[in-house]
Amino acid sequence: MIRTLGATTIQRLVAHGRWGIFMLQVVLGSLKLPFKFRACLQEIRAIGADSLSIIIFTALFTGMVLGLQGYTTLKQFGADSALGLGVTITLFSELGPVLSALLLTGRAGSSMCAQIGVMRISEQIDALDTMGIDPFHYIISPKLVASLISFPILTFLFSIVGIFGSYIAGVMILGVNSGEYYAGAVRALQNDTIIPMCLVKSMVFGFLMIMICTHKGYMVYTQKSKGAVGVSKATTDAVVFTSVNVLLWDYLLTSVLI
Amino acid sequence: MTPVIALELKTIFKSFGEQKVHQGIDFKIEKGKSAIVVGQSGAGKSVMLKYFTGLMKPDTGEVKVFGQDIAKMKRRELYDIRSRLGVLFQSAALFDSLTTFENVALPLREKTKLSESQIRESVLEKLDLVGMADAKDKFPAELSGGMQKRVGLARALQRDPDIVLFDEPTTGLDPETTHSIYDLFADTQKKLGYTSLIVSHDIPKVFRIADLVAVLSNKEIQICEKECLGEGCGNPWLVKMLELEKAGLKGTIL
Repeated sequence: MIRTLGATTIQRLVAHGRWGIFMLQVVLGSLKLPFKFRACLQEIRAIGADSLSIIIFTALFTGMVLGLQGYTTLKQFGADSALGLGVTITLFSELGPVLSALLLTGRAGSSMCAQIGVMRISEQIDALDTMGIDPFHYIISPKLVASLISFPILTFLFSIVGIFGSYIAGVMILGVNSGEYYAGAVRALQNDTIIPMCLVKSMVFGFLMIMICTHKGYMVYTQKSKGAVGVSKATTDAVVFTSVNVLLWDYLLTSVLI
Repeated sequence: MTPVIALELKTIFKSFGEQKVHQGIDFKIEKGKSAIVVGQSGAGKSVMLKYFTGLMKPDTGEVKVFGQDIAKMKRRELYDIRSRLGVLFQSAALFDSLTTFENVALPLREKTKLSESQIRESVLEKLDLVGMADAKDKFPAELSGGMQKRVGLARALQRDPDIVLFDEPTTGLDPETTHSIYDLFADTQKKLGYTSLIVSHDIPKVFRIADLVAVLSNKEIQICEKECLGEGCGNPWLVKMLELEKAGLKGTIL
């Protein structure tokens, strides 16, 4: 039993060490010239533009539910005028960053992991290496840059659409005063911590998604199952690990930034 | 005049966990020559090729490309050596999202400062060399296995390498295409003068383009000269393969 525990600990340490080296190589690859401007634009389209519809749809209904639940709860204390304030704080500081990150992980992160995994098993990454082309610079760094740009924009969009969804449910359907709702929302945004927290969280989540999903794809050969099954397993692992890490880091960041 | 050694392995040992793959193998090939590596499945043929690209390192021993030990090189030095190598992978390893033209242009676009018109000229010249100029706008998924290998070869030759490594280049191809691919290798080598190392299982078809054959069996290597290949050069595994081939049983037994 002690031997198994020791072996498992060493395996975990080695895996984390590999991930650390991988992250360093991605960051160094991103700093290399020439900057992959065209590839970055393509990735921004894949991560950002192509995710717009799912972000807007989810944000709208999340906001509507928040409006409905918030109104019902606040009404009991005669505080329904604070709906705009409460919803804005919740969306910008928590639900916006977390839900956007989970949606983008499911949509873009899984696709990245599968793409890099297939490139790995079909020797395309080896081919880049043997041509003297740094795969971190060529494939992964544009994804990192695009992610660091797209995540904050989509998170802000999610939060704003969510506030609008809550407005529909709270003001247009349930009759909360629109002036009070608007004033509450503005007051929330004037809080010094809300916008920086949203920005920091979205960027950290974007960084985590790229580092976990691309690493799982890049190291697909370490999976017990090989070929297509290995890629499928790596993709599932990538989505699960990223989601768990997003929730874990959300707590850590909130406790530091609040 | 002393011949220049292009590729050399010295006392290579390699294991994967408990499984020993190479037990002190030595190998070398002179500049401009063509060597074939054959051997049973799992004998470490592709591993041997990966030593020269730096994608894999031996546990002990020296791996030399033009006299430089690449096992001790830093990443940047390794990239410099790799610029003198061309590699044709088993799966051709073409990039799915790029057209034939873009695949062949990739090493030039990424590693040189040539103008777009110079790149175009060079790519079309290489595609013409392998008979694929007409397919320049097609994506890899639209090409047959043989055509993909031709495009892969054009990409491998793009920077006029001194050495070209072929990893089981005819796997999955029909006999006629296999012959035409070997003809293409011999033809391009004659025109461009590169040193070639081919990992293959096409016994004895591949022997016609070889200057020497290395047989990997029982974790060791035996170098066979061209003159004795017909009789298997006394190597029990090669003799058995040739007998099976003569009896038309190789495919069924293997």
